[in-house]
Amino acid sequence: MHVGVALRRFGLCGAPGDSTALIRDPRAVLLADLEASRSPHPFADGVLTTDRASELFFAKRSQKTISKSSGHETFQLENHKRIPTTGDIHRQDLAALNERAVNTSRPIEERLTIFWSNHFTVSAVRPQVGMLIGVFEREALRPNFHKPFAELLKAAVLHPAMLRYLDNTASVGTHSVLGRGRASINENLAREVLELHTLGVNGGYSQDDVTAFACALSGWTAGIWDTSGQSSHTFFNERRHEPGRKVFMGKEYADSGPDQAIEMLDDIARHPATARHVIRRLTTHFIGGTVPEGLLSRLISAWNDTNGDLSTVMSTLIQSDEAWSPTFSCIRSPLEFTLSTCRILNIFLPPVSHIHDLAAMGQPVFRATSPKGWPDSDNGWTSPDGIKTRLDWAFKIARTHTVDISLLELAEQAFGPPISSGTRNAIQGAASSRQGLALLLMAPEMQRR
Amino acid sequence: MTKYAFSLTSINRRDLLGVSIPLFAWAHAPRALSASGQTTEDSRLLLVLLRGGLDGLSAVPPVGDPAFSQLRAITAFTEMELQNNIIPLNSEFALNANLSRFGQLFHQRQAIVVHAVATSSRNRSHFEAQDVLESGLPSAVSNAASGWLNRALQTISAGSRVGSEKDIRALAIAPTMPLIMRGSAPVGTWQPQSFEGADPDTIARAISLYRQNDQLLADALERGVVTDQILSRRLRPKATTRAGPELAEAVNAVVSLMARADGPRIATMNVDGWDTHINQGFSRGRFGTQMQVLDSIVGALADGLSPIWANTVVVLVTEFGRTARLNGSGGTDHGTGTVALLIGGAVNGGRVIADWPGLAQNQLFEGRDLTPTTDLRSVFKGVLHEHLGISETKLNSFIFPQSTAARPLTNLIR
Repeated sequence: MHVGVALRRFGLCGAPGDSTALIRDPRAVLLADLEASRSPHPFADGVLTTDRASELFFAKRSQKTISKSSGHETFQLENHKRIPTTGDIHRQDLAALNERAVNTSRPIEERLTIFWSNHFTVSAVRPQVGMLIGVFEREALRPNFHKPFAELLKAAVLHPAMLRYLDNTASVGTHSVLGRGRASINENLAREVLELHTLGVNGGYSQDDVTAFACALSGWTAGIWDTSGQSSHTFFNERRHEPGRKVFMGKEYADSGPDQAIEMLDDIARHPATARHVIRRLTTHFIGGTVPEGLLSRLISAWNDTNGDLSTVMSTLIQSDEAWSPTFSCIRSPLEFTLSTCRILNIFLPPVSHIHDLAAMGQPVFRATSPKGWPDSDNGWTSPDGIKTRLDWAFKIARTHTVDISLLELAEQAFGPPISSGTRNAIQGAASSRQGLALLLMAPEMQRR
Repeated sequence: MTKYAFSLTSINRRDLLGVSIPLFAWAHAPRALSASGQTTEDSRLLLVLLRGGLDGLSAVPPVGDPAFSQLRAITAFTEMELQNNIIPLNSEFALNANLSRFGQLFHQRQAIVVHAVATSSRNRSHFEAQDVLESGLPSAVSNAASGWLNRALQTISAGSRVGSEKDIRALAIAPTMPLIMRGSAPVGTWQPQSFEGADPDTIARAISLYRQNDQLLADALERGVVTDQILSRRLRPKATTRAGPELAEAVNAVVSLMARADGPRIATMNVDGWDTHINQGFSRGRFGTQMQVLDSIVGALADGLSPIWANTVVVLVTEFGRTARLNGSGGTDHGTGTVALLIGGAVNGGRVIADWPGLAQNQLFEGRDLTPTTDLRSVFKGVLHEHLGISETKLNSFIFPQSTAARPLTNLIR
């Protein structure tokens, strides 16, 4: 059963060979995978970067062909003569996730990516962020989600994608050089960082704290779409920054320019409400249900002992008995479902239809409707239309993809032994191999983790 | 958008499917609803959730309040906008000129504006305010179990004005079930779909697999199957709107379904895009476009629902208003008081209902927002009581717990 827990709860179901590797000591394998993913697996040449996104923007604006001068000749798209659109970039980014889901030897890294991409949601619903969703994942999240939370927080909050998404690039301090007493700050980023990313909605902050934090953040911006020749990366523009000392959550912060927001972010990361909020979300994602208080307090101790080291928190979670309960209460998101399907069948979906199908299942990928991101509770994905569409999709996949082992062998490979009698009977009794594969993909073992 | 077009093959397939699988999902529906036989006479209620926080002061500007122009007419251009691009409603209030169809309904006495409303949430968080709006609870709780519209459905019983048991009575046009519709009364969710579905035998086997040890997935799949069957028949885009293709599809679905004799009686849909932090404009700009979208939806609903319009109430609400002043980016930040809009042939309209708090500095909520004087629950309670015949006792105790102080608005419905 522990093999199944490792495959389903901490991975994307089993590719060929996964189960054999796990059989002796699933816990040790997961811990080793976690350790190995401290150095993120490099992506193939050609995926978008902040620099490249900026170039594309300028190329598009001037309607010229893409500059070949900057060593990006390997950038691959279907049509080399056309300047890539946001849609092209999304298809490329989803294809990269598909490739990783199929080929990775440490699927827990992909699951952590899915979790943190949702915790720190940026969404192409805001056009100015459109191309940067995958960039954000690769530059801000993957290199940092094994480090202390403060590092991840600063990387995520101060990435151009987040500064754009939550309007900090439009925030101008009233008493700043550019504000001239008329402009005012924009609170969006400050509020969502406190409410969603760190302290939580009941984390003990007031409207004055939101305002003070927003004032400290003002000036942190990114000129990615800016023609002024400024850096496409994040930088601090003193002329937009609300000057002066600030009082935030009862503590005074000196007038230290760019460092003021950094100091606040470090303090927010250290706040006990942040540990509780983040650990609760992380644990709910992996083990579902209501997080037991005992586990919660052990994880909080691990956090406190290591200054919020996320790798330590994850390994403590993997070592806990609670993590290995054979009750699977979380329904997979549509993205986890399609990526798991790709992994067990070793297939690459055409990104055009993959994006379309995810939207039909209720998850327009890269386009979350709010900074809160996608549902991540046990039953967040049980809408009737969504589940029915999963079945329709599974039936479609089963028409075009066949497997060269028996379906029961595939089920054991994917979910680990033993397969429930219901699923076994459904697969064995199927009227056709297509039907059998569709039922395997819809089995509770596949849908829940 | 062809990607959401309905293919003839999928319609035929689903018609066939209807023969082999009964409409079992609604066996969970409350018993004791009598078929009225005159189903177009049943009351219809559509709730449109304007997510993101609509700036009520730009939708229905309080032109009679001298403080208003000081707050908003801060340049020559905005002053001209506010003078020229409005439709007067009475001496105190005007409409954003982009709401021309709404204005027509208002003058036909089929539209009401309730001004200076808000939920009981005061911390300007989208998520908390939406949770409060949808849960119907006095304050936000994490993971509220049910929404007020679902609890209202649970109370509707024999002789109701909402149709018979075998009908789909409630539907959320959304990819995932919104909180307002979550709960024990069966509700469908639906969004347009393009690819062909599984065959009836595979569907039946999947349901049977779930019935063995996963009732939640079994229920969800069954309801999805039934909803697909009914909704996929002859669903053709009719209305044209200023909305994008997906929103237009949603409006078309609402219109096509609710106007049917066997269609849902209660439905919700979303119109996003109200979080206008930057360069919102008034008749132009992002807010101006949003107003055009909203007005085109109002028109599509009034036209498309004409067979049942006399029995229809559409309630358009948002989670909060926005700051009374513009921010430094020409937009507005999260605020408090805003408007709620009602349209429909059953609405006792032509009125702006407002206990106006004033916009002078000392009258603003926390010195920055329109002060709310009407609880949004009072609007909902008034509609549920007068339109659907739900008793005040149930409204105060079950549907909106601890809400006795929020008295139902009266005379909203003809």
